[in-house]
Amino acid sequence: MRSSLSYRIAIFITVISVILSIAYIIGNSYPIEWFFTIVMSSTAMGSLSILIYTRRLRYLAASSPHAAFLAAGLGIVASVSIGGNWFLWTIIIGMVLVYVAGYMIYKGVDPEDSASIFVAFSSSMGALVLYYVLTRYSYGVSVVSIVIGDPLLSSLEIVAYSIVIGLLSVIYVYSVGREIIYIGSDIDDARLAGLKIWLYDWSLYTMIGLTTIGLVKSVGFVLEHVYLLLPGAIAAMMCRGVARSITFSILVSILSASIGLLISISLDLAPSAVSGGILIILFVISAIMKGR
Amino acid sequence: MVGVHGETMYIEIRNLTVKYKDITALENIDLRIEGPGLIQVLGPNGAGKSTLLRSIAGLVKPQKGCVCINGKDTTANPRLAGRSIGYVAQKPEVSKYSTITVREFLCYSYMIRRQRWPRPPCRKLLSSNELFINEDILDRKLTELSGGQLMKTYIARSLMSAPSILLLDEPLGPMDPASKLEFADIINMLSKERLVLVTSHDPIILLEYTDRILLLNKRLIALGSPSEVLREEILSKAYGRGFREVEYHIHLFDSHY
Ligand SMILES: Nc1ncnc2c1ncn2[C@@H]1O[C@H](COP(=O)(O)OP(=O)(O)OP(=O)(O)O)[C@@H](O)[C@H]1O
Ligand SMILES: [Mg+2]
Repeated sequence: MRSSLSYRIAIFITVISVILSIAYIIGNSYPIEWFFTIVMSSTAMGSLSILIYTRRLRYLAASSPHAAFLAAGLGIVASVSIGGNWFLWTIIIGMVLVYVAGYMIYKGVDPEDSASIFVAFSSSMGALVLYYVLTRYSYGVSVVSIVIGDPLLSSLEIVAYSIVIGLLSVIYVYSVGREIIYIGSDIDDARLAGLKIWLYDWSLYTMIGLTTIGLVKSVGFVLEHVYLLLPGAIAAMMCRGVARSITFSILVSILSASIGLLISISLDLAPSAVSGGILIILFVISAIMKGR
Repeated sequence: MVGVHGETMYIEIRNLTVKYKDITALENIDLRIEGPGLIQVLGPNGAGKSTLLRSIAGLVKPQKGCVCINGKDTTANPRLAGRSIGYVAQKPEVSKYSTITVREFLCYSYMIRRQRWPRPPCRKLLSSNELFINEDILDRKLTELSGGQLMKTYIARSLMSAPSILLLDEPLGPMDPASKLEFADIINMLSKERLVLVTSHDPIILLEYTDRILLLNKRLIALGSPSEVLREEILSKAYGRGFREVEYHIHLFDSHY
């Protein structure tokens, strides 16, 4: 009963907040791309959240923003020294890093162990590379946005990418989510049923990689952790049922992003940080509700 | 050898050796079992009972030997083995963040085996409920179930693929005495049309329904009817001095029935 009530309330509040946010942006003649960038980025990560928890990939998910951090730094170095597009370099390097971590887990390395090695490696290398970039090139602004994110400065390329990846994640989750959830719930029976586990895992690593790496500049790698993990944790507390919890986590992502954008524009604060803060508030509220 | 549905069901294992790195779990197992019927797999801790069931299901890769199900070589091939086999692990694990409900769990198990669209809706599937699962737990999350309820759910799940062979690894372990008796009846009923292999540490509860007992301690010690296997000189080969415990229960059983 309670879960179906909170479900309806969530839909209601989300719709209201989306309308308010769009109305505010249009009313004050701000670019509407702001809304799409932040809401679709948040949706992309939030929709994967439940799959990440059920498939026990929290550690891979938590380390991929670090891979994004390193990849973004190397992307700057590569595009300056070799030439080519920063964004493409970042995606290519980042995906290689995520696949390496995924392959380690696939080969039976404990996910916690592989994540610790991976985080240690990509954070220290990332810091090294970004220090190099800061001291050698004039890329200060980019480096700051990789860390803390700036959806409002996004290039058209990144705006388009956010919209595509947001839609893609939602389609992905609703089309193969059931299989992935089942693999996470009973891997032996999934193997007996003939599911190709490696293929589903590989597709999920790809989606995690494409979102965290492609959106690193708009969301910032620090807040990617929050966007990726909190919606699923909130939905897991508030909902019974996979189908519900997936939709709920998407609603939570849209809600936090649109209210976050509204508040951050009107108070001139960092948008992805405000949305992250809202997620934390929602998390605390659900933890209290669940505790009762 | 032929079940009610007219299916043949037999398992043939030849020269099977399974090692985990340097630990030998099973050594040169040779056997053939036919269904329908109930077979209890007995042996001390670490005897390789779970490994045997997992090998039959194609879930472990043996060092040597092969497993054939209904005449097909299914060694280390869960996809092929899964066409005839339903399997429940000794301790099914559920991620603590999992939100899947009992109903969804059963439906998904059914649906992932059928790639046709549109997929049958969940509710319809479970309305004809022969699944001995209480209606009121259908909408609970797996994480909200007790050990016994979870085991019942997994057993119900193993039936969703309509298997002719069922492998249940210590299904009665987490159950209370009343549920044990209730489940003994269910297992008996299931074994009328299927070949059911059940591992356990307490052969008594299922004894009256048991067709054969498979006694294991890395090697196959014995395979025969309960009266052939449950004898001091045979049990002591598997259990060493511990067999007296088993024997004591059997005397109790004898005096009761
Ligand atoms: N995944 C594994 N990795 C390494 N060794 C294993 C693994 N699984 C089982 N073993 C070893 O293989 C042997 C047989 O184990 P198995 O679980 O098959 O025994 P069992 O008869 O089911 O025992 P129990 O009665 O305790 O369930 C044991 O010595 C065990 O330590
Ligand atoms: Mg065992």
